[in-house]
Amino acid sequence: MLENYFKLLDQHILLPKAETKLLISDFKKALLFYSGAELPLDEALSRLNPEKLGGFYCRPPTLWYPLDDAAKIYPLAMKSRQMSIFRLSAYLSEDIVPEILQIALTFTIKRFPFFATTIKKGFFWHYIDSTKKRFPIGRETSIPCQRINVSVTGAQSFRVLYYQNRISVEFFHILTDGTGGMVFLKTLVAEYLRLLGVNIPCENGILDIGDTPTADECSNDFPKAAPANKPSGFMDKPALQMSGKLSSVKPCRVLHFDMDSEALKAAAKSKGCTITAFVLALMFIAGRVATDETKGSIHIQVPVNMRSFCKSNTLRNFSQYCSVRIPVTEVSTVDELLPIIKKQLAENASEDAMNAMMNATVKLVRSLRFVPLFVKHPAALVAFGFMGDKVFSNTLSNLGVIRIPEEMRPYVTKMDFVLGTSITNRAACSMLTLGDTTTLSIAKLTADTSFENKLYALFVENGVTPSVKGSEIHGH
Amino acid sequence: MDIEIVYPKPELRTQAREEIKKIMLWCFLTAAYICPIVNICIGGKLWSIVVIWSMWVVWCTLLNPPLVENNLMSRTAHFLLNCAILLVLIDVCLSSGWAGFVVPIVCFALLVVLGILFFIDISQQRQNIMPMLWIIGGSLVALVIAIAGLLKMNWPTIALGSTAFALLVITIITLRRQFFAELKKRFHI
Repeated sequence: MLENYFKLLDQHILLPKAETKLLISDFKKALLFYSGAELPLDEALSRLNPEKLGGFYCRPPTLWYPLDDAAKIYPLAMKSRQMSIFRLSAYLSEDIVPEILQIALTFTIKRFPFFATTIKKGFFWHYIDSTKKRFPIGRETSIPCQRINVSVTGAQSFRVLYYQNRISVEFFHILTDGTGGMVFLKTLVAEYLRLLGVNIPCENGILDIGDTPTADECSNDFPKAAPANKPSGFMDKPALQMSGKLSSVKPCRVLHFDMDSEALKAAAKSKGCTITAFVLALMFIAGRVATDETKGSIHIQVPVNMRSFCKSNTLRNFSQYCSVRIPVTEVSTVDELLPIIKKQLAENASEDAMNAMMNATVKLVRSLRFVPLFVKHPAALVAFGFMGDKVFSNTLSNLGVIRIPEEMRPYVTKMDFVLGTSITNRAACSMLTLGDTTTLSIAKLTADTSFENKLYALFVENGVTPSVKGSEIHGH
Repeated sequence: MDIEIVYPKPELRTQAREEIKKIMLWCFLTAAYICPIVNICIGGKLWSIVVIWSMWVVWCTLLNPPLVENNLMSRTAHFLLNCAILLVLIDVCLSSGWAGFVVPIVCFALLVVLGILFFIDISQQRQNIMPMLWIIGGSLVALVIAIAGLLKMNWPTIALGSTAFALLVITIITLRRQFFAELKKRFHI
């Protein structure tokens, strides 16, 4: 039985010898795990059915994808210590079994062919070129959102990590945005649970790994933007930055504020605003406390998911951002800030404003298309060096309520979302809600704890007591 | 605010590398600042240009390699091309007359090395073909310029041009459609 199984497995893998050996070894380790768990052999072989590999590991890597319009800036602005990375994590009810997670990734990756890619340099633009290899998982040994080495042959632009009961996926932003990343994470976790014998249906954003990827999942949907009535641009005045020495490790600390979502909703409702507006108000106050500056404005960048305005199935980048800005002298109480924030969000995150920004992005990309990369690259580095993240003080990216199938609920206790830090912004905040827990994550670029301490105190004052988890401070 | 630690203590290996890089950058910048001043003050040949370029080669090759496509073929191509430029600079700044002979030999060696790297692992290196194509293109241009009489025609230039042409033909025959597919990717707008 086993001999036939490995024969069949061998027929599904046509990779270089070393990769094939590793892949087969993964299946052997998974079988050993099942054997240790006293699972009948036929059931184990059925779960690890080589048919699930499809033709992915047999076919030569011929696919390639131009970067979407938002992703084009990321490789241009990348430096050896500066890379746009974000991370999505799922916390399970039990510790992760690495042998099974590896197989889950091996099965899942074929459904996301544009993730199974390596970044390449074209004459005019970078692009992603498919790569066929074993995509390894890794044990978490470092602080989240560290740079990914994308330079070597076949290097992937994402990594799957595990630590205790947590599965994390870190993405270089060229591949996808938070929404696309979440689809990948949910599909991976669902496959992991299926391999452990839990029946998880393909619903609520979980893709069927047996399905063929569709063209619209990997399309660049920026040109879909409707014409807008107002002009838009990317230049802005420099924003006020929080004080505190910049750390050498980026980020130097990650914190998660786990909050009761009902309590948070009630607090926002009592102020007559959305959760995003409420958290923004608290961030403005905490930001003011965390800076010594007395002049200038605090600008908070708020990414906006364009899928809510424009019908799209793309799993690649399809988001823009708006900015909420308040002069530091006007930052006072939550009640006084909320009308300003609500007004700015309504104006700056409107469909028209977002379409205008998308149009500006498409126009910029088109105007630069015939400029060779060796000219664009240094120009982008200089422009990014001058402007960079200085036009913002902080970011709040809210992925909203994450929906998972009921069958998955007992096994997935929590999820979180961490944004990698940029150059000068001392903090980057991100948020999502799963079930009755809202998790606000803060990635820090300074050891100064004023911002998070004040934010915590403000939440408590408003009737929401967060449970705080995170990392130690590094790089000081 | 009590914080429950849920992350492992990070390894700081990469940090040490970054620190070394930072120190070396300052050393190189200081040298790049001092050398031209000393060169101008004491007069004579423009040796400081050679020093600055040599530091640039060390910086690009060892301390600050490319962040995208830092593979064996591109590393080899970059390093040997930088060396060829260094030879030209030595010829121009220090002792002239031999670069027109030596540089085509270095480029010829570079083409041979890239050809070997490519053909011993075509399946992997197929996606890393571009540095070789650039060198082939440059070599053919050099040959055409030499034929036009703008460069001195000598046997290393003829060997370089003919090797480049042969390598191009063999690559096209080997890769066929893939060759043009690779060009389409590389030149997409």
